[in-house]
Amino acid sequence: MKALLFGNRKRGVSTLEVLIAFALLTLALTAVSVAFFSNQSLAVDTQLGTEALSKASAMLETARSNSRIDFDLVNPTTTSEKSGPVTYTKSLAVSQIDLFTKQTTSTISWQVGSRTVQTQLSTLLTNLLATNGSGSTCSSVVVGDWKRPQHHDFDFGQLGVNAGNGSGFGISNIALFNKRLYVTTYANPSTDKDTLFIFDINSDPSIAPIFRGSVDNDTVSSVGPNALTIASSTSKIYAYLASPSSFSRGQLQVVDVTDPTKPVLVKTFKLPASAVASAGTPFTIFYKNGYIYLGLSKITGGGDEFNIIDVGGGVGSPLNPVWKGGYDAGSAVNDIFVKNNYAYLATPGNENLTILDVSNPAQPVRMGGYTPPNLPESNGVGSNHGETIAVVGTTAYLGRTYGTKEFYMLDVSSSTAPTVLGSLDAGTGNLPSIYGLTVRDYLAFFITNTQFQVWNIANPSNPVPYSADATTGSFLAISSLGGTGTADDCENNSFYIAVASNQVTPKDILSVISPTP
Amino acid sequence: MTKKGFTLIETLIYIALLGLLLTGAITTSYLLMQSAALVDSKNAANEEAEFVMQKLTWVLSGAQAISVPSSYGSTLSVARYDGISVDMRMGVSAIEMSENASPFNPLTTSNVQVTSLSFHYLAAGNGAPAGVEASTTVNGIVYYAIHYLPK
Repeated sequence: MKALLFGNRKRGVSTLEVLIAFALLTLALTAVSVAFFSNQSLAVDTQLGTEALSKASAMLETARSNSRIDFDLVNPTTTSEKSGPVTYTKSLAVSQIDLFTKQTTSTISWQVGSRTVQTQLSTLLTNLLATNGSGSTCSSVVVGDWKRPQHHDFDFGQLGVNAGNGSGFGISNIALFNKRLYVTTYANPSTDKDTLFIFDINSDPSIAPIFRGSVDNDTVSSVGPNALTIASSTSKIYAYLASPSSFSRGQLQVVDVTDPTKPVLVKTFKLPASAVASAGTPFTIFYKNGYIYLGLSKITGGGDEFNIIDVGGGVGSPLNPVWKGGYDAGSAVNDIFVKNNYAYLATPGNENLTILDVSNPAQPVRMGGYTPPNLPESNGVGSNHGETIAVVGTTAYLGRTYGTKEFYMLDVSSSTAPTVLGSLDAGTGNLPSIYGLTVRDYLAFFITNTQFQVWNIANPSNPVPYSADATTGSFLAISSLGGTGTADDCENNSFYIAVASNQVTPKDILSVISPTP
Repeated sequence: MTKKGFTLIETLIYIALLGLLLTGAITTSYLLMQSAALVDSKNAANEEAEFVMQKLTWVLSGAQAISVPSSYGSTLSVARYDGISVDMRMGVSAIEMSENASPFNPLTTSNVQVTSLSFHYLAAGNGAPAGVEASTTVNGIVYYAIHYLPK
């Protein structure tokens, strides 16, 4: 049998065969050990993955917490963190899904040899305050190239507004809310012309706003509102107007704008004589959680230039506003921003910023304020003024007129003792003045009387100019749009600004400013 | 027909090769055993730490208030919206949890060595909800989590 199998060869294995066998055995052992040791690297990977997952989860939790402090604090970030021999890159991507919702995605990535491994978690955050008009619909997420802003200009009088209103009466204020543009004018040529105009806007800034409807705020006066704000409930949308048309009739007007084609003036409310005994012209208006905050011009003989009116926060309603309380600021109130329990007032007094505790609307209490140095800063026109105010997180941003430093960034985490984080001069000498102010992530956007300016304020102690006009290399000149900037608002990623024309035949320009895509 | 066995040199070479191979095999086996133990340890630590972190997530995702700690501590006491009160603490060598003041039960087993558990209370403020930062060391590996109260 053996002879059959092996023929006549009777010999053992050769050295070569033994060596081959050894080589094969070595290979097999190597493969087994490699396979086994890979378990260990798998275990290390799992451990790193667990660590990364906890970091990704912590980032989303922190973003959620920040969104409750201020929705505008939820912005993209990238940092790195060293943990033992591993360096994690931690990125938070934020995208604005709609006007009220942000998608936040945390990504933790790290290197394992030549491989890049990453863990990613995502969640949606909603800006509950903005849904009823208590917060802004301007996105804090900076998208596009704001170093090269572009503008599309529309003649207000040519946007299909009611015949007879035309243009050149001065746009006093602009409000954007949920894809709709609300415009008020200072005056109309006769008492029976409209002063509040409503438009639909398109996400494409080159498309002109579509006129929907308008209303006259006061049929016996040709004076229009100075300012407006929009608030909504589940079934109604109201425009609240700061109306200087008549001291005797009232300073707050409420227009039901639920049907944009048929806005209806539903209430004119007069502040009580006990608080405002003599005429104070309403300058500014702010809505927050059922309360209207109304700022007036300086009241001769004393009175409350700052007023809180209940239009749904307590017993009041839009049709039945109830005055809750006021504060004698001793000067005009040019702008109001309310956040948490505090109202921040920009005033033309020496104290450019005043902080009030409004947790009890019936009794606002002054907590602190900020008086810029080197007063008075007179340029022959007047002393410096606090003109505009915005608060993001615990930082207040103060825009001023006539100041050598027109912009201040203040830490207001202590309401009694604001501290300066930084400041800047928006123009040479005492000009210009900041009439519109918006802060989005690391950028501050100004409407001055002459320019649309964008500054990088990532380092508050060293703000630097950010935007530049492609032609001039400097900030976008509003004068090139037709005149002087008077009002602005922002929705999503675009700004709408009003420009009062200085041409021989005056007209009002609505300019939509957006980034280069 | 060839009738030939190994020569002495060949035998010596085979013995040397076998010796080398056996040395390699024994060393590898030792390393493999070490590696297996390490992998087991890491896996056990991961599984048990993840279990603890998931418990923590459950506790805090429905939390109404955090009573302990007020700043830093190794004990956490939370009142949940569903009416359950939960306490977590560092026991003798394990993380323990108790619901509604019942006796503490261990969340970790003797397969792992828990050497630390710490909580840091993150106070509410400026509109931010209160939260807890938790970290634990299991088999020498630090695990970390942060959770804020729902709001």
